[in-house]
Amino acid sequence: MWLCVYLPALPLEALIDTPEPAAVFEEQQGIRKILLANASARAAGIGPGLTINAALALFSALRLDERNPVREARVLKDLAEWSEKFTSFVCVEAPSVLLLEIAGSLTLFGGIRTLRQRIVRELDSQGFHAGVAIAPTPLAATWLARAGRKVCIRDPGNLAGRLRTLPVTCLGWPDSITALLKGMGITSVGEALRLPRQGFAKRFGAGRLLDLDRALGRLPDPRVSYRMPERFIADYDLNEEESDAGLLLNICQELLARLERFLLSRQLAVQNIDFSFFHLQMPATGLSIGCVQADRAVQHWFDLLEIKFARLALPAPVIAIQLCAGQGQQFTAKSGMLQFEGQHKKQQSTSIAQLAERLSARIGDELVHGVMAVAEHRPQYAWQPRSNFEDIPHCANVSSWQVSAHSPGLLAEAHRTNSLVLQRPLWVLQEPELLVVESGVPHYQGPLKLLKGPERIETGWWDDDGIARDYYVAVNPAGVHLWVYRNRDKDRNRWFLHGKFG
Amino acid sequence: MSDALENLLTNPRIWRGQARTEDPGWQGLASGYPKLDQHLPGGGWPQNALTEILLDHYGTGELQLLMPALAKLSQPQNDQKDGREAGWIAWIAPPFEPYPPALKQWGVNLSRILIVRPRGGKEALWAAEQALISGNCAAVLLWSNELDDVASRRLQLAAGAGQSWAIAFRSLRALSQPSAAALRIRLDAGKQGTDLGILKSRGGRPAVVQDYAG
Amino acid sequence: MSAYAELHALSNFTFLRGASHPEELVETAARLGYEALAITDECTVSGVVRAHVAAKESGLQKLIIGSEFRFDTGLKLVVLARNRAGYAQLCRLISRGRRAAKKGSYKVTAEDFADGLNNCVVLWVPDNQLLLGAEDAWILDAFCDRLWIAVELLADGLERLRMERLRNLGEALDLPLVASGDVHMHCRERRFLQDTVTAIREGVTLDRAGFALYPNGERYLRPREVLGSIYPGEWLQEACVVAETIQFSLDELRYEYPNELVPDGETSTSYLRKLTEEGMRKRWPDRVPAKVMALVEYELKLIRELQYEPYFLTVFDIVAFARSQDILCQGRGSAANSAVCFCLGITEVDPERMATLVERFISKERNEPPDIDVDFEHERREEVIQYIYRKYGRERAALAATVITYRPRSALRDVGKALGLSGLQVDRLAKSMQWWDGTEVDESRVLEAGLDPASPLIRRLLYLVRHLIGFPRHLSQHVGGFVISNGPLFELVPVENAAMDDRTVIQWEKNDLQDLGLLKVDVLGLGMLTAIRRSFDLIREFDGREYTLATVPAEDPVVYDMICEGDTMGVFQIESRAQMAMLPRLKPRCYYDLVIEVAIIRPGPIQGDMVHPYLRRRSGEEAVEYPSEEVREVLQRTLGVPIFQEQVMQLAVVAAGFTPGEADRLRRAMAAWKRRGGLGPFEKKLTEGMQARGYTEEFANQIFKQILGFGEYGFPESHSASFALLVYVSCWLKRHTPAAFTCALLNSQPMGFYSASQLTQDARRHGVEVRPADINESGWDSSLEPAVNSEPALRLGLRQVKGLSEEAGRTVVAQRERAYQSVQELLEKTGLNRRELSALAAAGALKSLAGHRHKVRWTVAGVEETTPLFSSLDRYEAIPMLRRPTEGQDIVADYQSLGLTLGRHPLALIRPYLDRHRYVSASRLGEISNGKRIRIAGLVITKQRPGTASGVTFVTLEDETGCSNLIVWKKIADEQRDVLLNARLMGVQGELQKEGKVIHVIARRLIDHSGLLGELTVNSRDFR
Repeated sequence: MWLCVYLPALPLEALIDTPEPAAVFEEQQGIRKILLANASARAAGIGPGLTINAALALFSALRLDERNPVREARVLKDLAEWSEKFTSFVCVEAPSVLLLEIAGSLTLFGGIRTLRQRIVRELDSQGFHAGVAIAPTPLAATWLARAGRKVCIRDPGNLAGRLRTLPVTCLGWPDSITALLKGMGITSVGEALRLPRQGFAKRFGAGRLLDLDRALGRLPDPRVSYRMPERFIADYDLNEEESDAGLLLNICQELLARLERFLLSRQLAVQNIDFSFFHLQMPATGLSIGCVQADRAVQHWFDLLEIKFARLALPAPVIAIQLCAGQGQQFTAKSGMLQFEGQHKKQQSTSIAQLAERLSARIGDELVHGVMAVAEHRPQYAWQPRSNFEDIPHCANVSSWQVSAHSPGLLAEAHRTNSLVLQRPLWVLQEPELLVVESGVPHYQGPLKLLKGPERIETGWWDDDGIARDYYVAVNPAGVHLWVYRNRDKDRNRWFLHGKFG
Repeated sequence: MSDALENLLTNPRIWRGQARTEDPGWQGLASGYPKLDQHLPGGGWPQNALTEILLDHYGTGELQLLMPALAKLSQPQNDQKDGREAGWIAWIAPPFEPYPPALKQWGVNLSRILIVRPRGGKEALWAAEQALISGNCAAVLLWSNELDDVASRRLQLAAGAGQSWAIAFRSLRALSQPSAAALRIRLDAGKQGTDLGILKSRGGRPAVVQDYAG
Repeated sequence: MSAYAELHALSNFTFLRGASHPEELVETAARLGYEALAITDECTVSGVVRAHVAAKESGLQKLIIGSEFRFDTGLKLVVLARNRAGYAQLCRLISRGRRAAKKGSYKVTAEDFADGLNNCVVLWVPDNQLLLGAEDAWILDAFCDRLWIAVELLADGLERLRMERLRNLGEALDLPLVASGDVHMHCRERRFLQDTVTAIREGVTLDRAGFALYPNGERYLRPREVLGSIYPGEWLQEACVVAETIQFSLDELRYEYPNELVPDGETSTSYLRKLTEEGMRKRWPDRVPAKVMALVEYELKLIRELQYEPYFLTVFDIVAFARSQDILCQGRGSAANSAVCFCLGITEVDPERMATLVERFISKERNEPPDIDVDFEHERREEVIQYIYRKYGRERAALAATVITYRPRSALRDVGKALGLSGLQVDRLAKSMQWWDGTEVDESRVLEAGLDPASPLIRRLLYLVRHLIGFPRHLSQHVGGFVISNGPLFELVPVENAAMDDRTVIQWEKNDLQDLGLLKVDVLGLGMLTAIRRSFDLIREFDGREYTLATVPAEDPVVYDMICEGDTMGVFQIESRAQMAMLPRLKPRCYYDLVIEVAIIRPGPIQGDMVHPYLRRRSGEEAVEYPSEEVREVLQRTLGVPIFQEQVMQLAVVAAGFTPGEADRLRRAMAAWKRRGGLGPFEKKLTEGMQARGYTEEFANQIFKQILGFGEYGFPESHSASFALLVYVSCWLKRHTPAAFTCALLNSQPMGFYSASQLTQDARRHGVEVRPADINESGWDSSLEPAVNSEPALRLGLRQVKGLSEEAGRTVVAQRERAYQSVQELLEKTGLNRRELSALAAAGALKSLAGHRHKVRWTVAGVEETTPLFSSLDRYEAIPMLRRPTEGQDIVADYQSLGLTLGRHPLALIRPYLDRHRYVSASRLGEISNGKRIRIAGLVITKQRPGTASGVTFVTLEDETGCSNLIVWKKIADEQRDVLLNARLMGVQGELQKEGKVIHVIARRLIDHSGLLGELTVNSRDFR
């Protein structure tokens, strides 16, 4: 006995939860068209098939989202997990159907009617409008649900008779096939069943014929169950409250070893793990460890744990420890390399990512970073920190700074070839520093002498941080070369220090 | 030549010399400044060891001094026999922002820069040591006021263990403190450019190089 | 203050780089007192004519023509034409560069400069690379005595170093240095736009544009005192020295007409006279009217004085070619409606018939070249174009360009993208500002689009859009304007590749050619000419009657009766809703009435509020008064209302004291007033001139308002006169040979306002029997078949079948030795594939082979795609019992695959339902009295919202008895936008409004009845 949950409005419901007019659109052959609209949008006359322009003409404040199949799949999977409370056998039929085998659940849930009511009600309360139908074969249940028939067929003998009146459009066949059928005047399942089998197969494909047979129960229709992926959680209960760090670390190590076995057996790796230290009188203390690449090597996790644990202040003795691993990922060859290198080579083994992890575990994430140059005239935006330590390809648009791998540097090159290059200081200040000005001359540990300039940088008007500055290279009495500027528009007499030629 | 340097050189403990030292038996890392290389044993920076740079004002050309060598280290050397990979350069506790556009102009491979901003002096030393022994960094630049005799010894060892070039920037006040560094130099703004004094050089001799870049 | 000449300036004709119009640059340079300004757009001279005209108006001392070139090596040169020969060298160079690359780009190499450009000045613009690369050293030899180093100091912080290095370089290479500015805009404020177009060019948002942007806004026309503080005086002086060596103005361009058309022993004058006289004898075999004779003499004299004979001979030659190929054509334009052109056969408009037309012909004072456009059958125009290329060669013939400029929508889109708005946001904004003309923005509209009008982003957006509108974006080809010259064209103007293969376009557009007095022939395609020629052919084939444009009986009263009824669906020009509604009021009774009719229902006259005064005066409700005798002469033929462009110009001359040349400039300014925000000096001159001549201020203002109304739409009488002939001929055909005319229209689709469905229904209402497409009866085209009554029947052709290729359709006809007996036979003989067979089946064209539609489709679906070598066993497969399609199903299928039905109209099927709900049919509207409340329903076949009609929407509904016209006022449209937008079958409650024979329904409430139609889809032709 199969119960089919058909979610016709899933693309909308997966994305939008607002009573305001809203709709989901999809691009078809370059034209963006409304796929589904919610009730208030429909009331404004916005319906499927309308182009976005037309919809906006009807209601310009319409909320529009592009259809998101990934999101739909996730919602459908969540619903499959949810429906596992009704039966142990749930199939997911993308994009919008769930099939529940309910023969075994009927007594438990007080009969078909009650079960169905409950499913519909609970779906409704989660914001999903579903067509629900029950039939002896999964296909029949699906077709009935798609056709919006809220029926419940128990007797396989009634199947043929009940399916006859269904329109062929609810079979989920390609549009070209239903159009072809319609051209012959065939609009219902009954009419399709009356056609000669051989002629039918020739025109519409043998697969369609088998569909009909499966729906009617003439052929078996085995299905694959959807099961929730496993996730690693392990506890360790201590016999008494414990605060000895060494001991606690040992227990953590053992939990990690169990994680490793779990991951190895499933060919998985994880990217983050969470330890919880439970106390008797207090909420648990958490400790999370993240890793740049998915990993399953205990030693690496343990190294990171040690560093973090040393800085962790436990508010009370611990009575139990739980390790909870993040979502497993397919173990890739790359993450594997990491592990084995880690075991054999000693010190040279650690990758830069691991060094960075080690450093940031103690110092803090944002205080350990790489850098990249950004093609920007505004000096303060001409670079960015980066946290990913993989090799980055050279930024495409930074030609002015671009230097080939073996050239001795742009400045040296410029010197050699007699070309002009803007000189940038090796040091810049995080915030430009206002300089003292005495009788019109800016001072920084003494009066400054302007050597080069002005270099006029006047750009960035498109965001709210545009600048208009004249930059100069200056030198102070101590011989320090400085990068200073003054604003062009206002306060022309205010000078700022922005960098030093280290 | 600045007065400070002049004073220093009149100190009888320092042997003044211009002559090239005898071949120490190793190849130094070319500094990119021929005038300077002449005075460095092995014709360049001592690799796998600690170099100390002493100066009073940031902006006296202390980074320019290192740039050609750092640029070379950060680029992959595929054409050579050993096929060394591009090396990482760690900057521990820099006093300002190292400016990527300028680094790039000097030919430094930005994708090999690691910047660490420890919250305290001890942490900086720890981070520098970690970076040196990790074996990933071709060079580790450290700015620290807490670098003492012990610390410099540890860094010198770590540099050897991790086959890395350690560079520590210190104030001129540290002049009188002992140090385990293989090379100690001081920088002063000169009339033409930056003057450089070699205070200590393992396998070499103290020297003064005026306007090293000139 | 030192004197200065800017030798390096780019206008916005360096697309997406320059940020000022050439006019703006010229005007600013003049104001700043520059000695000269060089417009040096990158490998183009597209903007120089505008600059040339502006230079004359603004009093710029000297305009220099040049161009910038960038090489793959990074070398950048600016080439300036020193004299006429240098200009030819420059054009040749640009042509080479452009022809060597695909459209929109160019490529130059050292070879292209090999001839040394000895009549040009060359500036070398070193970028930051200050050495001349070895591969670029050739320039030293090539331009030894005319090469300068351009020093451009743009506050990049390196000036001092640059000056020093370049000075050394100049000494080392022995080259003089000259100051220049790399100008990209006329004022500093344009740098916002300059950055924006840069981002658009790079296809990135502004914050990602990086070093593609300039670091500052120094690339503008700097005041001379600023320049003096930046450059050493001798370099500024040198710029003036360079400018002084240049002596060239576009005025020197002398155009030479092709001269090979004159046979030996003749001069062009004698030959033209000979041809004209021959034609005259043909037109009037018995006796040439004295009036015509005098006119011809007058015209020939004028032509000789102005030496325009070759032009007339050129047009004659093209028309003669078309005639020899049996391609129908018709000339129009000022010169086309001359007696000479009538004699030469360029036009069929009899000068006698045009008695009331005051000819503009050729204006001697204005020295404006004659203007003849020739329309050809649209499907055969290409043959004419190829003939021109063959005859004159690509060196001497090319199409004029059309400069595609930014419109509000495209500007909004591009600026929005550059500012980082999402496509959806831009769409929203574009949507909510549909009628925005780029000047003011209704803030509530912006708000409605979910954006904050006060936010800096939106304010920036609107500012940029406002300024970007009107910027040239790319060059496209003019629809048919050919320039043909005696010598190589590329010595006159550069030639570049067009998007179409084997097309070349020059870099100037129509107005530019006019400004320089160059000549062009417009070779245009016109669908109606195709339809008319086909009608003539069909009539000849059917019953042997021969017609030409000239021999269709003139001034037939029954034709005018039909026109007065507004029964004009399918005819030329006067078939639109607005036109049809106007006809019963205008009541055209003669040819000249049609000339007015063609011109009057246009946005120009409507905006200028000229239609209603004309109607009132024509119906005698309003007296016609003229403020003076001169004005009477100009306006009498249009009852005192200026309707034609010529009248406006004449008014300016007689009433406001304009010279003919000024009047012509006024005409040009009219087209651009929206973009430039007014008529500038003309406005004052016009109103003051009129008042000075004793006209009231009121009259002056009224005329001025009417001139503004013309805007871009001003329609010349000379064009109207030629069009009116085609109007008349098409009406005559519709009235006397409706089957042939409809058939010809169907075979010429797509064209005109109406769909095949509407045209066939209209024909059936006029008593034409229309027969279905049939595999055994139809040709590819629709055709005429004998019928019981005298009027032939119309057989639909296979071309009406959707999804059937022309090749397949023609094969079916070609292989049909005798009628096909079965689907299998059809398949074997023609090798059609299943898709094509299905198309035929769906269209019901296989009915005679396999029975009703359902059966046919079953049979067709079962055929093997590739014909089996041995007949397959399935050949005798049993056909299952399939229900016969219902009438409704057939109608749906007809619409889907033919776009029309020969069965009953869908509305006939639901008439019982409509009757119950008291809906009347269209045919009964005439019986109902004015002001009555009624209900009417029908398929929505057109929706129009003329930009001029203040928010009103015109909807045409069609039922089984005919069409009804709906007026939906803005309020109702806003309230019921969803119905208006979505309904395919619309019911309306409203009020009947009758004015003579014009019947409208004013909608009060709209009801969407589309549900009644089921799956029927009728495509409405919306908002065209």
